[in-house]
Amino acid sequence: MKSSRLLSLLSEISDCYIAEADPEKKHQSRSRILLRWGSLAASLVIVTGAALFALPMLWENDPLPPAESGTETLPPPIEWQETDVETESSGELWVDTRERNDSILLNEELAIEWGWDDLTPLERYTSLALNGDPYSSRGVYLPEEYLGEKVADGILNEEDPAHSLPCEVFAIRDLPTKRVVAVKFEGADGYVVFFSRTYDPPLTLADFMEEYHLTEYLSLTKVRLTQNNFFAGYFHLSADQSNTIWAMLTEAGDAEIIRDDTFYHDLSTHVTFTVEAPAFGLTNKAYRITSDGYLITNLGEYGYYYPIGADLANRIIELVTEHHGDPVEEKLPYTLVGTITEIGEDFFKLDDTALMKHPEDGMVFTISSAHPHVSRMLRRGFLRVGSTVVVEYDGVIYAHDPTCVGGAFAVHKAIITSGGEVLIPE
Amino acid sequence: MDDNGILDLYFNRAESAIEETAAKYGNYCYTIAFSILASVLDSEECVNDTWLRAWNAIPPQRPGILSAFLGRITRNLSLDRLRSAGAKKRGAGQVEVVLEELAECIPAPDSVEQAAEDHRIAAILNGFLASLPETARIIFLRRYWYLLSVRDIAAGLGCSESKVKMTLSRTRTRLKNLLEKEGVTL
Repeated sequence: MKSSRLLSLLSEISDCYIAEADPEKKHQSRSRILLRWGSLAASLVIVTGAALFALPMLWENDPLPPAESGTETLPPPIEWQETDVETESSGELWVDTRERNDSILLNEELAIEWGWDDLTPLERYTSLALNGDPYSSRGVYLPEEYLGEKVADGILNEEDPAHSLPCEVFAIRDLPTKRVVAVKFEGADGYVVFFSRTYDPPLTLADFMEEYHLTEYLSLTKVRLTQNNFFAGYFHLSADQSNTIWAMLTEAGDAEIIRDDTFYHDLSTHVTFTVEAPAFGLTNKAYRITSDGYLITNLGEYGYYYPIGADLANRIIELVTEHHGDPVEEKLPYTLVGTITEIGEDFFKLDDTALMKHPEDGMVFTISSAHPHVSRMLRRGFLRVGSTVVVEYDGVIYAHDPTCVGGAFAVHKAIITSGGEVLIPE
Repeated sequence: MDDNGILDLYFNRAESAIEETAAKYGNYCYTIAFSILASVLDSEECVNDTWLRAWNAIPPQRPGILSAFLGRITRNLSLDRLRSAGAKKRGAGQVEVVLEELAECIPAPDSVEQAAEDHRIAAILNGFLASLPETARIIFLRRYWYLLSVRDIAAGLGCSESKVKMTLSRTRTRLKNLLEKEGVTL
């Protein structure tokens, strides 16, 4: 039953929400919390206002005191650093060692319906009809070394004449075009991967592996292990171990796809390989093997389930369990969290004092709002001074000026909690 | 004893850790188990299994929110036990009714099952919960995480049952729309 899966997936929600809804806990209205946030925001405004008032006095003898002459004094332009993680010559990266108070919950952007004008080209053109079959994009580019021959001209968003656009369609190396293609269109910075939306899964696991050239394009070296409902860790396997697992999977080549969408599989013990498939323009896809004998993957437009048998599944899980070595830290998105204190033409300022265990560690970051995903949130008023936000950036903050962040690419509203409470330094 | 003290007992491998945990969180975990299993015996066994799981998990884990950590274990154990017991017992607890309600949130019945997307779906669910007003979020989770009856939720929050039902209905509709928009199939 599908709703039972949703019921199980609810187990994965953040601890803070579970604690917040604890039936034994007296319900505490958020209004008090908002009031405290409001107090913080208000105090920031007061501090800022006081500072603006005080500065001219401090600079009494300055021949050009800012904001005193009544004319607009433009601040010097911000010099955004080139953000290239690979280029070490740009300077040493900042390492944030400050202790934080809280766990962070996000986000709200999912619920926003953006208008056409606010969409990026990748978001605008997501549907393609090729030889009468529908294809859709997930907005990712294909590395050009995987590009094959041009196979057709096409029309994007054909069902919406006001927003349709001609395009060129290319094969991706030796992958079948009935599954996946690359598309070039005006406004895109490269070749965008489109997957077929026709549900026509390879009949057997062997067909699936062969058709998608899985052993060539997928490496089973990054794995998360869950045993008896406990997450045991994230591990790296060797290339040899990956090859061994592929060889073991060929034993189940005759396993036929499961088309019954009501079937249940047990997730209490399983391994999930995090696979990167540049040939499909995809990262962070899953290739899961459960102890009750199923291989499950979300490569492609649909999820595929193959019954590989409990014996084989448990041998693979055993191989991972016995040979995984030490757990490694998963690469998590780079984020900054704090309260917006100022919004400028191409930047906004973020104060993260409220997040710090020691308030004196708090910093004010000046963050570029050049990325369209960031600028539209500000432009459309979803974020204002006083908003608490999570900013995702490309990981590049230089030690020589850690307050300047050039590579922000997303921003979400956030709730800051600890044990269900919002902590604000008094 | 506060949670840090209890966790220290676990880290020192002091068996009193379980006694302290049971004293502080016994009722909490039992309520979760009983809402799912509707059986005193089964619920007590799940709660006892919860202590054992916690003993085995801590250390190395040091939960940030102990109540949520324990509640999650109890909930998973109870749902597993319910599944293994088969459909016979389902009518007894809140699960059957809750499953019917949640079925409203599932997009397009002819859509093909998406697999191995737990991570993404969990992020969507967390984002969805963050977007809800606090009261709606608490009502939703008391119903679908703690599996409390509508009557108990209303009593706990001091509001009418009709308000709880209306809030749940609206929240399910929002969730359905979001899951459809995000292309989630279950």
